[in-house]
Amino acid sequence: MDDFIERTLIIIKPDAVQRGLIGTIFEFFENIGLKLLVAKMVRPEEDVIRKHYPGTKEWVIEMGQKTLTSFKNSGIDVKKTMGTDDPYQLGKFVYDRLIKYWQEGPIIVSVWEGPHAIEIARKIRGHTIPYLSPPGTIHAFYSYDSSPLSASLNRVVKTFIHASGNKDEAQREIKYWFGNMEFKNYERDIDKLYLK
Amino acid sequence: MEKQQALIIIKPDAVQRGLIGKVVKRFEQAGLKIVGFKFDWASEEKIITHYPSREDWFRKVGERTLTNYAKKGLDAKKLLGTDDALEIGKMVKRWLIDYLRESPLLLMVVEGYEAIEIVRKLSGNTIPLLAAPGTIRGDFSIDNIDLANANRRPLRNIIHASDTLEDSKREIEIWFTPKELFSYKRADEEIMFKLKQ
Repeated sequence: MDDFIERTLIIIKPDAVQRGLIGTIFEFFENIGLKLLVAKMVRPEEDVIRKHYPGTKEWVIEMGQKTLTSFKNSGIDVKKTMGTDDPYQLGKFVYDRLIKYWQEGPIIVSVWEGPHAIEIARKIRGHTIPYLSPPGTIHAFYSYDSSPLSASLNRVVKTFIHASGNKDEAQREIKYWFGNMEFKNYERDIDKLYLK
Repeated sequence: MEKQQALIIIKPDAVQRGLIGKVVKRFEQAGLKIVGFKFDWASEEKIITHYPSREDWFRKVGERTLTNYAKKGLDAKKLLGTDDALEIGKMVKRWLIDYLRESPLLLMVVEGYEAIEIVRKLSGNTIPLLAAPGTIRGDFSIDNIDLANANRRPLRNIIHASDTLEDSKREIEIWFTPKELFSYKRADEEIMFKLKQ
């Protein structure tokens, strides 16, 4: 059983906080049965947000390429809008804007635990881009933001909720935001129904 | 008009039942702004300072328990080992400490106009049996004093909310550092209050 128990990092971004949706978002994860281990409201400095991401050249290029693809799919001229179509330059540009988005207000950083927690959290959150997120997911319920919309307004897509992508990422992110904190276990009411 | 800040603690019975989100939502939906928020285990020391340690407080709590026992024809000395109000008050505080250490706590500071009164209204009577429908305690708990007394435990009543502005200031200082409190605008703030700047 222990092999299935995972921990994942969930971040509620400034737009969700300002819309008064902290409780609503927590409810989704609690209802599934995930167990909250720790949470804090913070307003991090630029550098702290920057280092939440891997930030390597490959990662920046990958982000640039993702941006190129989403521009292409929306039929927007990337060079005209962003001034470049070079993936690395584009990636750096998006990286900076992403940090600005995170700094729009306080955020909630939290760690959740449960069987398959990483995939379960990603599934209920939905697609990173709310516009592309399937019905029934939090992103679909609470946002319409899209790549073309955000590009036309010179900002990044407001990605609302961050959820770790895989085990390595989760481990790195939890350590990054909470150090070597130890999480003492406690019982959720449903533990005895599913975990015994 | 000045805004007030109120401290809210979501207690272990609510945490373990997966009710954090539902309770937080009540305050957010009403229009209060969450300016401090954390979830973690509380140290025994913090809980000890959170509840008063004055003799008159112990006596008040003890006497309340004694009155309840008398009304029900229960023998306090037999059930609690003492009928001294001060001793009973101290015992109740011990129960409260144990209760708040059953799981991590969700600690939250909410801000708004008349926040203390609003929070108390939304929370409802501290005795869930008497709390009105539509209040947090009325909607999420059916616990009562007799049951609590018979089991030598405090009421399990979902949340703690500051009683007065003075209490709130004292309690916020115990649980939050100034750096853990934030100032920002809610998206609907202007629409809700239409303030003349």
